[in-house]
Amino acid sequence: MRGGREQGMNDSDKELARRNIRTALLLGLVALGFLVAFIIVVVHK
Amino acid sequence: MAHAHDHTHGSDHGHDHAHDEHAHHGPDKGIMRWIKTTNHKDLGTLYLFFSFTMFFIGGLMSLVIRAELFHPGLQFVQPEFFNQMTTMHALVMIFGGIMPGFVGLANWMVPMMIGCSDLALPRVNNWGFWLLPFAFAMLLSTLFLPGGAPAGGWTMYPPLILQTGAAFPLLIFAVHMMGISSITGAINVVVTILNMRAPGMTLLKMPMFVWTWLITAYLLIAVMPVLAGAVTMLLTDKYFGTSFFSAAGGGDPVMYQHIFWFFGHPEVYIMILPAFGIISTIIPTFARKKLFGYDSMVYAVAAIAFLSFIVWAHHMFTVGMPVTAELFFMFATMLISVPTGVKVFNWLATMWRGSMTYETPMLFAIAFVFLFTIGGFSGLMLALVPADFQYQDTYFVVAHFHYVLVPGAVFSIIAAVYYWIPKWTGRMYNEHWGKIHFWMSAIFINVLFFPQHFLGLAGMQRRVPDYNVAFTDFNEISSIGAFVFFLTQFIFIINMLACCFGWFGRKRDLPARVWEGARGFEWTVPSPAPYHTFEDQVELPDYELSMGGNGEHAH
Repeated sequence: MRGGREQGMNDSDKELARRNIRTALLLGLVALGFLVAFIIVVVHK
Repeated sequence: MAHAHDHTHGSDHGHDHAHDEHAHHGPDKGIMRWIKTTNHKDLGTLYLFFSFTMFFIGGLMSLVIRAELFHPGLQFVQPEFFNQMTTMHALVMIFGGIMPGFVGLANWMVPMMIGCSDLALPRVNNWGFWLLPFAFAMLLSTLFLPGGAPAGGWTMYPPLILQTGAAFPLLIFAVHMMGISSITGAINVVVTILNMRAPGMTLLKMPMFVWTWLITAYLLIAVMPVLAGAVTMLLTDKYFGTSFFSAAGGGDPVMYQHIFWFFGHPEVYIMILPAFGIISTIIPTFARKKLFGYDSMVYAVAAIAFLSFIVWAHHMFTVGMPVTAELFFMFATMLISVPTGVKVFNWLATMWRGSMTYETPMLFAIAFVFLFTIGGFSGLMLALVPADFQYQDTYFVVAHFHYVLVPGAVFSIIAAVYYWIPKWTGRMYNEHWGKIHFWMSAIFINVLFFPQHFLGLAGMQRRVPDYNVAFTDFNEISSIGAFVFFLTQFIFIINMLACCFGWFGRKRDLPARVWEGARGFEWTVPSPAPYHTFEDQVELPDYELSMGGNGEHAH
């Protein structure tokens, strides 16, 4: 995240990029949650 | 990240050097442009070319099926190969044709419609696309393996699918790769829509195409992991000694069907909700009225998405389940007709007393409304438990879902390409040939699929290469329809390629607002759309929002 890739970015760009990554990770966790829930349902059947 | 830096500029321009160096460069040259690109327009183009390649391959497979079914008895292929064709046709069309087609349209249009410079995660976008050619190369390569391609149906029901030979692990891996591609694409779309809308574009001012894609993306995030889990369990059942779906080992093959359709039914809506968005975009443009009932359209899409999670067992009424469960799934399924009906009536109300013109995209959109509704009605028939016991596994089901998917999803993709290709390329398609393409398609899609209703009601089974001679006439009609429909699509392909490459002397001479009735951010940029758009934040005037629920449409 930090260092080279953020060089030349202004503050609002950096904040947007960080927000995008955070939202994407959250959605990734949601997807993972569906997988885990699925496994729990199957194992307990 | 770096790309977001390159092209996402707020009001602060305190880094002019980096800005000049990166933000205004054009695309790279040659093949590397397409391999390395993180530009949403490039990736949209790649997705669309990939999608149409897959439509062509899947179409060829359908011709093998229809050629074999032209007459009773075995004509051209062996039953084993016929089963491979039905299975591969479905996998290629669903995961390779329709889904990437809609993702391509989302890539091109979502950032332009909400006024941002690119998708939120451009490198992830590149990765998501480039997984697909490898996934499908692997899947299609199974045709040349000993034992051939998977032949147990696209639903991959055990125990049948576990009899697949060398193709099996490749099938599972290909499904995993498609799933990763879909999830990354969906996350990208959601993040972009939630975080990067232009100032003033509140959620209930977004274009309907953006709304439908937002909800579709949530569906993808929810159900693709379930499919991944299910096929992984198939893999372990076959190679690692587990018995998830093996009755002999204490497992339950019916459980797989429940799991698959928990994915599979939302998947059906993944393939149709973006189509609703396209039709909701095109009809107001050519009716020259704002979309009737914008808010109700949004809530209808959300309701359909919610209901899609509680109807899965209507695909498996005959498998055996408690009557109360059958009743629940029957009524829940019938409930879907309410929000869907809201949408259809809203489209009709939008056209009502509009200043209608009938350019090719509008023709396809109107055909969508009529023909998709036919598919909806046969779906309602299939929702009835006692009737479904008769229809299950017959050509009536084949007719039903093809009406929803071809004059439904595929027509919407065609309509969208006609509608937006002048914006993408700066060149207008040939309207005369567009209309010929439309009428040929609209006629022969019905020649192809309508007789299959009668075949199904008369008892002809699906996924069988041979049939009773009594079914010959309708099968011949259907096969003729298939061949003519397939050939007709070359008119479309040539017409579109001519726009892309400037064949037949087509000039780039279009205004920004190609269609006079069109509203929205995408029609404020020049045609063709520049390689980079909306690098600086812009606010959309109310006038451009008038297709939504706010404001009046100016004539």
